[in-house]
Amino acid sequence: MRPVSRDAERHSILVDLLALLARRLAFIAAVAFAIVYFCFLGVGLRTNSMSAGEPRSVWTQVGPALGATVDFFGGLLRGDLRYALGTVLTTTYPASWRLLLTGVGVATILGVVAGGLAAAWRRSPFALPTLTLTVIGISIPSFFLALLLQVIDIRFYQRTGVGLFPAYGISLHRTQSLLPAMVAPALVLAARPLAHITRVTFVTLSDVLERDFIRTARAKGLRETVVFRRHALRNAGVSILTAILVSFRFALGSLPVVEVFFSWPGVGQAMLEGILKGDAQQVAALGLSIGVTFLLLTLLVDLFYRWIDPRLRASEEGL
Amino acid sequence: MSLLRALGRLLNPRADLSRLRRTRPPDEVPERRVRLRHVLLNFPLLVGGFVVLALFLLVLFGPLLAPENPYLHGRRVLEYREGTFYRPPFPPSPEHPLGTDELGRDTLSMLLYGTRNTLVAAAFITMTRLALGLILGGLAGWYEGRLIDRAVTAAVQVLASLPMVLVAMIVIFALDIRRGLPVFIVALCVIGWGEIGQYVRAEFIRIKKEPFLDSGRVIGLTPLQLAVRHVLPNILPALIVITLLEMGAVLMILGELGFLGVYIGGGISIQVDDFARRQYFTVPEWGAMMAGSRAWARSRPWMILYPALAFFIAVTGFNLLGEGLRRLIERGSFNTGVLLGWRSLVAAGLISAASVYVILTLGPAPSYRHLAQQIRAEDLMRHVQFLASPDLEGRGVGTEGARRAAEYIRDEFVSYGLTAWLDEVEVTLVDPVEPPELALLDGEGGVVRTFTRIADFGESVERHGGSGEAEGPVTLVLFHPSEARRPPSLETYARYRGLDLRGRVVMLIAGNAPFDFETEAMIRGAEGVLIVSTDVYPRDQILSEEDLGRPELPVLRIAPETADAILAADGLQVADLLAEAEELEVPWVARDLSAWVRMRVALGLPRPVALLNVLALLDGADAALADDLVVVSAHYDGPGRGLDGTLYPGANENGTGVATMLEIARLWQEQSFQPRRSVLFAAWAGGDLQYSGAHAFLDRPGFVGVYRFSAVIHLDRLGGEGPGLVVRQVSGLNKLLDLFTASAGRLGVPVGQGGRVFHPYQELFQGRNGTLIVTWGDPDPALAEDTAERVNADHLSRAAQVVNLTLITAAHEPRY
Repeated sequence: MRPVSRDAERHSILVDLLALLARRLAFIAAVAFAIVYFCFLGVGLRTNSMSAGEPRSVWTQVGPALGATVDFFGGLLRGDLRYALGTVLTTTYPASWRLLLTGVGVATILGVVAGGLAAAWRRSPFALPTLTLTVIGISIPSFFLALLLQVIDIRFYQRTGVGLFPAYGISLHRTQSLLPAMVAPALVLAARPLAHITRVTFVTLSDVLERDFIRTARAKGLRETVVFRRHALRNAGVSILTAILVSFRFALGSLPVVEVFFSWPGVGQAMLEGILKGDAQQVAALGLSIGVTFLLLTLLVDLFYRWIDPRLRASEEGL
Repeated sequence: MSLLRALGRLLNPRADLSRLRRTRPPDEVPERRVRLRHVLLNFPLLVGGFVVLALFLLVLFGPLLAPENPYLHGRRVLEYREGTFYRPPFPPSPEHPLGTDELGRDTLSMLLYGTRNTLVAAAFITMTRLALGLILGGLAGWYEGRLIDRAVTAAVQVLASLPMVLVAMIVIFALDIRRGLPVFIVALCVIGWGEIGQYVRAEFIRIKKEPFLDSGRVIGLTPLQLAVRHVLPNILPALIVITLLEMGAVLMILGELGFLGVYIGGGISIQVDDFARRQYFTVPEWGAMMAGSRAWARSRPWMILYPALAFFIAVTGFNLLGEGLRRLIERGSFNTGVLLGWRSLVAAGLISAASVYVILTLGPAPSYRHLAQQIRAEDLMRHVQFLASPDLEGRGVGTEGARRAAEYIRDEFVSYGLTAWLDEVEVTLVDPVEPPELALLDGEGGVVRTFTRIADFGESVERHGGSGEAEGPVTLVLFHPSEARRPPSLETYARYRGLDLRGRVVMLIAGNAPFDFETEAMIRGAEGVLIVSTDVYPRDQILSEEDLGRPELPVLRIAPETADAILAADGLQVADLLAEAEELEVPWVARDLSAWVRMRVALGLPRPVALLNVLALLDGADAALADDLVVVSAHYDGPGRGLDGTLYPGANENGTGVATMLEIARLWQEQSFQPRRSVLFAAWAGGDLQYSGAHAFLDRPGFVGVYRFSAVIHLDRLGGEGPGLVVRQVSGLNKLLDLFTASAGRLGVPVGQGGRVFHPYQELFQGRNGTLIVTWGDPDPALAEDTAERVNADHLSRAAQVVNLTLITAAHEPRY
């Protein structure tokens, strides 16, 4: 093998990275097309099957949906943001992300801390029950938790005359602060991610802390916090990051339910309305915005992996 | 002792190791006990196992514990308790431990019934997901890096980037939610196989590199054999865990969908005020129970909290069981071999048998059957005995007896709580003043044989039929089949040039002769007309005033058997004549027979008669289907008392049909079964008249225009003798007929097609899904012998149960 200079190596890594980026962006573009086509087709078929009389064949919708998709992207490329997409980008989309980020953010901080503590004390009799508790946490349906919060809030109000949080209904147009209104929905959104992140952190950290290199690090006299932060946490990083990404999906899954329950004017609720109204434009715009965001998020996390774990840089895993 | 042993040790050349044998490692516990300890200390396994077992038992036996059956009844409007009226939703109370929903249906019952529907749906969805995930994930992992792998990976990413609930909704609506469970299975499987697929792919990639696969390849196993025999067993334990976790995930998404108002079947819509309709579910299912209750979540939290709690418990149970199993597998105390042993096979067999039981008794069908079978012979016979009692004089058309019968039927309907009314129709009838006669004579005027009215022949006052007496030789006129289709025209007279019927009695065959050939026969001098027909019920009705100035010509309709008796002298038969007509080379042929007949009809003056239809309407519960009408009908009056004083009690004929109808209505009301379609119970008057009460009802504007006739079942002679039910389809699609046959099969009653009963109005009722006439056996009218004692109560009750089951399904199921 010929020795490679440091510059050349760095250069080749950069080229790899750019190629990867290009491939992934092309993939995202293709997926965006697929998502919009799916939305148009699905909503078209719904209208088809709801209409009176003999239902027409499924195939009658395939062509028109393709035409509508091409129109949609044509408009997008000309910079003509349809009404639907314009509204999405200015109001509903940020409203949803505010919730998602708050929920998952809180869940991440609490989860990593709780999981880390549990891993540090993994020999204590409380460690295993923690793990069991996370299973129950993952099993809480969002609607059940939302209901529970509401009932608790009502009971609390009946006892003390003070509401814990506005449990029902907000309006983004009012000038009042959104923070109190966000408490309940963000809590509900955070519940399952919190359980998941705690669990993954606990399991991976417990595993890493048993490894030989941790013993070595301790043996060479490093302080426990440094061992934990530099050697343990960083090695568990890939798993924890994956857990956060998965948590985003959990939160995204619960988003429609939470938004409907708390009347939060976000993407989930708007998309639900669009589906029920049969408004294909609206559904497509919302689906596109959220789908592309998540694919970009996945890409970002992938790049982050490479930064955290040098072993992944050389591999050609993934698209 | 010890000294001896020490000595022996000294003397023994071999080393004594007995002391070593006595020592034992301090911690050694038998393996079985270790395994048991792993199980007993495994909290998630125990709790999860308990919950899942409890759910499984509820799936099987939940309906037995439920206070009421939500498929059939339980809807309440008002409740009166301790001096106050309450409207649903009722809060939890001793009567409804978990409260009710806004239609007053008991939440506990719906939860218990719903366990079965929800969990079976979830199990189906999980299994299909598992299958799809295994296939796609396995393919992707096996052909790592190829096109299929890229496609599968891309699909997984796309599916993960959208909110699953909404994607599921789009797919479900696109496939039409009203198709029920299959749509949910397809939708939730197509969008949800990703996680399993990803896991299987990774495992395939890992195991593919193991050396034992190379060995397999060396001995010449195909890729499929390798995958099934060597890769799958290795991921089997993990797959079981994943299946359990997936069950939890599927339940979760079913709950979320239900919460957002999307549930299996999509429910029915009910008109709540002038302009608004609301969707309500009819099949109890946890998700559906939450759908309607969201608006009440603040003020009446029990409505939604309990189904939500049920979801939480079920999801937690499955997830905990999965977690517990995972721990067990990680510790190595779980032997994969056990799964392939005979014990697990037996367990799988047992579970499959239980599932078959569940599938057989799943859904509304058993409830329908239970309701249908509650009809009792005694109740039916009570009605029959009243209707056939001599007091009612056989319920002759337009008589006082018929009026009393009509009022009885109406009062019964009203006492059950139905809206019932009498519908009066005026018709004009002509009655014979003395019994009409038909006799076969020999050449000298002696009577060879006399025939019986109604059974063998009947007079007809249609068109030129009237009073008169005739005696003479019979001439048979036979036509080429094309003649019957020829429209009447002025050329008719020329067409039958040479036909001389003076002094003769003409015999025609209905269907073979042109329409209104009696007129032509009269013009050509015929003394009387005999029309061979299967329907010989007297036609005593004057249909229009123009017919009043009629010539006197006796017209009798005679049965084919009667005709055969007349034709016997010439060695002829009706069936042969019809065959002969087909071969005819001329338009018509007249044949003088050797038989002589005497016929006499003496009619009184036309008189107006009031007919009373009895109608009862049960409104459909579903606003979308309430315009669909299911008609169940019978006619209740009959020949009454003959001119010679014979009483025709009409117990089997007409009486049994009415009794069945009444009992079905009573049972439905008693069990508060409210079908989705509207049901019209109709007891027609003058069913055998050419223009009966049913005709008048259909001609009247108003009622008929509002409803669409979905299905029509006419009941007649249900207590006869014979091997089984006989059903005759009059018009419409075959759906109702198929449903009827299936219902009879479910209740073990033999059913055949065909049947003779025909009423002039039946052709008018065009049930979209079918118009049926149902009888037991294929009897001729029994007339004077038709008493209540001769009705076969067993046949009647079985027939009534089949009719009831058919009606329940036809009125309640949106599609059948």
